[in-house]
Amino acid sequence: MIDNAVRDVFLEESKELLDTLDSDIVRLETSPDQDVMNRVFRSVHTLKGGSGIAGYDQVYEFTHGLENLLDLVRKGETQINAAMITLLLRSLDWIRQAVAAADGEECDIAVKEALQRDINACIGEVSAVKAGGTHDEKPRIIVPGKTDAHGNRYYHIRCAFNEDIFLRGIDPLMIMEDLRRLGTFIQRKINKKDVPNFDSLDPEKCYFSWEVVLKTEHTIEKVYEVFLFVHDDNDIVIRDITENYDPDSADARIAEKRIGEILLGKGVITENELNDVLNEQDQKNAKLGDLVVSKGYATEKDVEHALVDQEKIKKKIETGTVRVDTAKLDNLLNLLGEIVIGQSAISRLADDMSEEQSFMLKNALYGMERTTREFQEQLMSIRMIPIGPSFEQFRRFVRDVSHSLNKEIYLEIEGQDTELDKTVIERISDPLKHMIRNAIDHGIESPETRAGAGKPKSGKITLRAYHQEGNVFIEVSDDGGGIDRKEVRAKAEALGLVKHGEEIADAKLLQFLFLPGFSTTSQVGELSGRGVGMDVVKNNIESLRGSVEIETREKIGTTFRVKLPLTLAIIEGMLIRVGKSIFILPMLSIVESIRPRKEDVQTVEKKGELIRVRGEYAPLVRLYEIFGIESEHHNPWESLVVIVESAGVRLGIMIDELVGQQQIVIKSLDTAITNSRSVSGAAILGNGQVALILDVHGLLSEIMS
Amino acid sequence: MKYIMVIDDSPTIRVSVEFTIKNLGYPIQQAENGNDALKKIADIKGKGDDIAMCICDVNMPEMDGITFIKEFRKIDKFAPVLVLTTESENDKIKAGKDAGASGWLIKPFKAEQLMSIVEKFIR
Repeated sequence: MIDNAVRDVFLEESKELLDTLDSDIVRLETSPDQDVMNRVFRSVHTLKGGSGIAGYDQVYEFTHGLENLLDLVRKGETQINAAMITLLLRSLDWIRQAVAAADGEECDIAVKEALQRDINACIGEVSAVKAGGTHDEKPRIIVPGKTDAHGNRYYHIRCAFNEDIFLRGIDPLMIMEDLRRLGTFIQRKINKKDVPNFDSLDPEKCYFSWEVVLKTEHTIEKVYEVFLFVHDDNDIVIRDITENYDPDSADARIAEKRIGEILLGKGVITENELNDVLNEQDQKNAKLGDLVVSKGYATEKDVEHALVDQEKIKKKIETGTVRVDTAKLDNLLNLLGEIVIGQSAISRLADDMSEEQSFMLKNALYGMERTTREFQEQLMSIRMIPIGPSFEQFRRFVRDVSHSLNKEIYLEIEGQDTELDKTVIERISDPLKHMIRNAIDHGIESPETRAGAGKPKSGKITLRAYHQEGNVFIEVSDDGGGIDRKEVRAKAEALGLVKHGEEIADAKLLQFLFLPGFSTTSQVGELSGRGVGMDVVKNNIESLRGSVEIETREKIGTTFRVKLPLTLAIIEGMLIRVGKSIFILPMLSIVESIRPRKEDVQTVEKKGELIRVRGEYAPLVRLYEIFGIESEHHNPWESLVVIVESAGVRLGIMIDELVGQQQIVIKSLDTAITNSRSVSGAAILGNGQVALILDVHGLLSEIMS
Repeated sequence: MKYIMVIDDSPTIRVSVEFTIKNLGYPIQQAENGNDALKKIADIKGKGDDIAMCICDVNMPEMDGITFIKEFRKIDKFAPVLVLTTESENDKIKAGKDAGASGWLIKPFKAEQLMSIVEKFIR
C-alpha cells in the first residue's frame, strides 16, 4: 500500500492535522473544553489511521500509544495537566519530524522511545495492556486436522443466521457460495421449519438455516474465514469430522435411531464422550440429550437438531414405502389433466352468469386451481428418484475399461442426491456410458504422459449432477489433456464444414464433434475413435429434449455438460395454428420465426421445397398437406415460417399464427391412433381442444425419406 | 449505475481505499463524513442510480459512522456497509452491527484483504 499518491495525500493531511493539534492542545492548557478534547482525540486517531496506510509504521505505533492516553483523558479517567501538555506538544514535534523524514525509519528512535515511556507512565498499568494488541479476535483452537487418503478434510457446518441478517447488507447465499468455492458439499440440508405461513411471512427476514458437510482440502481456519463477519453474532458451528467420516455410510449413519448415534454421526460428540454419557445414563436414568448438554459435549441447539432428525427417521420407518407401477402414476397425471380441462369449462360457463354469481364461482375455482397445481407438482415429484444408484453402477465400468487400457482412473461422484424423472435416468445411462468411455480412452492420458506433465499418475473422472433453473445438469469431467482445437479445426476444414481462415465460435467448433463420422483420433482404438458414437449420444440426449455442450481446457481437462428437463411428462411448448387446428412445438427446438420473401423459397427437383434463411437452405414443411387439413395461406411468403432445429439440421414449418407459449402435459398416443413419426404425443388445451405435439426429429426423417 | 461510497474524514484513507478498489469497475464517490455521504447518496439515488456498497469510518466529525449507518439504513435496507476503522472494542463493533453494518475491518488494512472482502460483498 506504499503508493506515492497515497503518501503525498498523507503528507498534506498530516501537516494540517498537526497544525490544528498544536493550537488545540495549547488551548486545552488554558481552558479544558470537551469539544476541543474530542477534536484532539479524533485528529490523533486520523493521524494513526493515515500513517498506517501510508506505511509510516513508526508513526503508527507511536500515535497508537498517544491515542490511548488521550482516550483516558477524553473519558475523564485522568486529568490533563501542564506536564501532560508539554508531553503532547513534544510528541507532535516528533511526529512532524518523523513524517518529514521521507522514510519512517530515519526518524529519531531514541526520542520516540523516551516519549513513549513517558506516555505509558501517564497511562498507567491499565492501558499498558491495551497498548499491546489492537485485535481482540476470538480465541480458536487451530490444530491442522488430519486428512483422508486423498488429502481431503470433512467439516460439518451448521449455520443458523439471525432473522435480520439481510438488513445488515449480508446475503447468506453469498456465504454459502464462498463456502462452496472451497470444496464440495457432500451433504446439504436446508432447515425450513422456521418459515412461517405465507400470510405472516416477512420477505426481509431470513428463516432458513443450513447444515452441510463440506469436503475440502483446506484447513478449518480457511473455513472460518468465510464466516469472518458473521460468526460472532450468528449461530455458526464448524466441526472437523474427517476422522469419523465414512463416505459410504454417511447417510446410513444419520438414519440410525438413537440420539447419541445421530450426534456421533454428525461429529458433534466423539465416541469416548458417547460412552461416557451412556455409562452415566445407566446410573442416573436421565435423558441422554440432557446429559450431553450438561457435560458440555454439545449445545442445546445440537440436541434439538438431532431430535428433528430422529423424528424424521421415525416417520420414515413408520410409513414405509409402496412400490407402484409407473403406468399408474401416468394415469393419475392424465386424470388430473382432465380435471384442469373441467375447471376451464366451468370457468367459461361462469362468464354467462350474472356478475355476482360469476365472481363467487370464479373465486371458488381459483382456490381449486391452486390445489390442482400443487397436486400436479406432488405427483411429478413421485416420479423423481435420485441419480446416485445410476452413477454408482459406473464404478465397475470405469474400473474395467481403465484396466483394459492400462490406465489408473479414479471415479468421483458428486450430487448423488439430485432427483430426476425415472424415465430420464433410465434413458441417460447409455449416453453417459459412452461419454465416460470416451473420457477414459481419449480424455485421460497414459500414466507416463501424465507423469511427464507433472500430473498425478492416476487420472480422475468426475460424474456430477445438479439442479439449476428448472433443469438437471449432468457433467462428465476428466482431468486429461483436453481436446485439441487445432485438430478439430483441421478435421472440420477437411470435411468442408468450415472454410480456411473463417472465424468460428469455440462452442460451435466443438459441436462438430457430435456430427456423424467426425473423429479426430488418428488411431482407431478398440473402444472408441471410430467416429461412431458421439452423434448417437447427442441424438439420445435430444430425444430426451436435452442438450449437450463441451468445455475443454488444454492440459486441464474436458467436461461434457448435459442439460435435461426435470421430467418428460411436461414440456414448455409453443402453440401454433394452421387453419383451425392447433399444434405444439417444443420450445427447445425452435430457433426463430420469420416471414420469408418470395425469392427465398425455391423448389428443387426430388428434394422438394427449400427456404433460404440467413444464407442457408432448409427444407420447408407444409403441415396442412401432411395432416390433410385446411390452411389460411398456401404461399410461404404470405404466412409465417417457424425455423426449428434437430441434431444440427434445420427445418422451416409453415404456419398461420403463433398462438403462445404454455406448459404442456404430454399425453402419449396409442400407436393405433397414429403411427406417424411426426407426432410425439398430444395435449388437451384449456378450452378442451386437442393439440398434437410435433416431433421435429421425426418430421425431418419423414420428409427426408 | 451503482456507486461505491468511501466515507472517511482522512483523505489518506479515502485515496488509498479508492486506489485499492478502483479496478473493480464501479464508480467511486468519496465523502468526508456521514452528513456529506448522506447528501451525496441522496444525489445519486435522485438521479436514478444506486449504491453498491459503503465503506465507512467510525470516528468522523459532524456525523460519525454509527449514526451514518443508522441513517443510511432508513433509505437503503440491503446495501452492504463495511466499517473500516481502528476501533476494535467489542462494544463499538456491536453498536455498529446493531446499526446495520455488514462487516468490520480494522485499520490498517491489507490491500488484498480489503479487495477480496469488497468483491465478496458486491458480487
